[in-house]
Amino acid sequence: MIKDLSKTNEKDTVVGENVIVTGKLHTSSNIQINGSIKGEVSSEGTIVIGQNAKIEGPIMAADILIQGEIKGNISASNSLEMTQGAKVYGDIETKSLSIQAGAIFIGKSSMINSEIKHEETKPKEQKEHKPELEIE
Amino acid sequence: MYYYIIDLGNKQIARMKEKMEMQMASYGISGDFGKISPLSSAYELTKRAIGQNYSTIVAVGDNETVNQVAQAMVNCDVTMGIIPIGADESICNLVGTNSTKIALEILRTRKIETIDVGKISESKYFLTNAIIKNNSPIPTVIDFDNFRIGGNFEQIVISNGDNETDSFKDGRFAIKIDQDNTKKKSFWNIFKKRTFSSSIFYQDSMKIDIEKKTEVYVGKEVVAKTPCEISLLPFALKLVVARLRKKP
Repeated sequence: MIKDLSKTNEKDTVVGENVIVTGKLHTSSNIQINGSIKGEVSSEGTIVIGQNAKIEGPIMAADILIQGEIKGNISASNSLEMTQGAKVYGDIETKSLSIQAGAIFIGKSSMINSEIKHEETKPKEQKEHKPELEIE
Repeated sequence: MYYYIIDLGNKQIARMKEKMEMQMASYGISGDFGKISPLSSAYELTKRAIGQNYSTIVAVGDNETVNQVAQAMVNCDVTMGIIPIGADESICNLVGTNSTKIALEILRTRKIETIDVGKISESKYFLTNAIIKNNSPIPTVIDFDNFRIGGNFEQIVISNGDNETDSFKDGRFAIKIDQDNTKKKSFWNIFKKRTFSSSIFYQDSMKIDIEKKTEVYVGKEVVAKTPCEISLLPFALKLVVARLRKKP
């Protein structure tokens, strides 16, 4: 489960309620969003989109927790979690996906590395066993 | 050779001068004193001392003295020292102590760090923080490099560094914005508790524009008015700091 950044003291970027951000917001640390963003949001860490947050634009991060509303494509290289009340209108791409009952998701989802995993799970073809002793 | 810039108009400092001089002598860091007066400000004394080839110029006093000395020493090859007396927590964090005795020991051990300095508009500088405060929420726009934020803000605090050892040379400000989120003012809301929320951004430059012209404070001094530009000058001041800087 992705931790709620509002309860941490780390050097995270915080977009407060009733704050409007326009443009490209990129940080190497985590981001907690409680306001509105029109534009691209990206982080090398975790992005938490709070209950009252509204985002119009693409989002990229390692881990993403969604409690608010997003209109845009989302790419989480590690994990993506939508909680009850989350609204996502856009395509998502992630390695690990969790959607709680009560979340709205309208779009396509694709799993990173899913093809590799799919091949790994295929039954291996049986090799021909040669007899160890040959009889003349 | 050390040069101490001291405000003897401050009774607390005047009382401590003799004791400090004795400790300086025992530590081998004695020097000359420049006394702040209405005719010679800390800034002017510092500029004069720089021209006289002192190796270290030490600000003895509160935020105002420290900021004025720093103002004159930005991008200068001379090292600055601080003995905080009556200075606020941010200055004490920067030095690594709020004790006069320990500040003198720090000067003796002479660990020098080259730290970042904040610049406001054309020629005003600050070491620790600059504050813009309104009495009520006012529409404000802050432009950063790649994005812009807007809202009704009450207070903006631009901090260079905090309690972390390396944060005075991390190349960015911490910008904390406070706003009042109490719902519409009406008769029924008069007695309701006000609710605030904060935003925090880490950036190295910004343009701040507030609907109403607002003063920018460094300590108690008004250094500019909005609209203004604030940027970070990386590694712009040589400062003597504690070997292990921690929150005093």
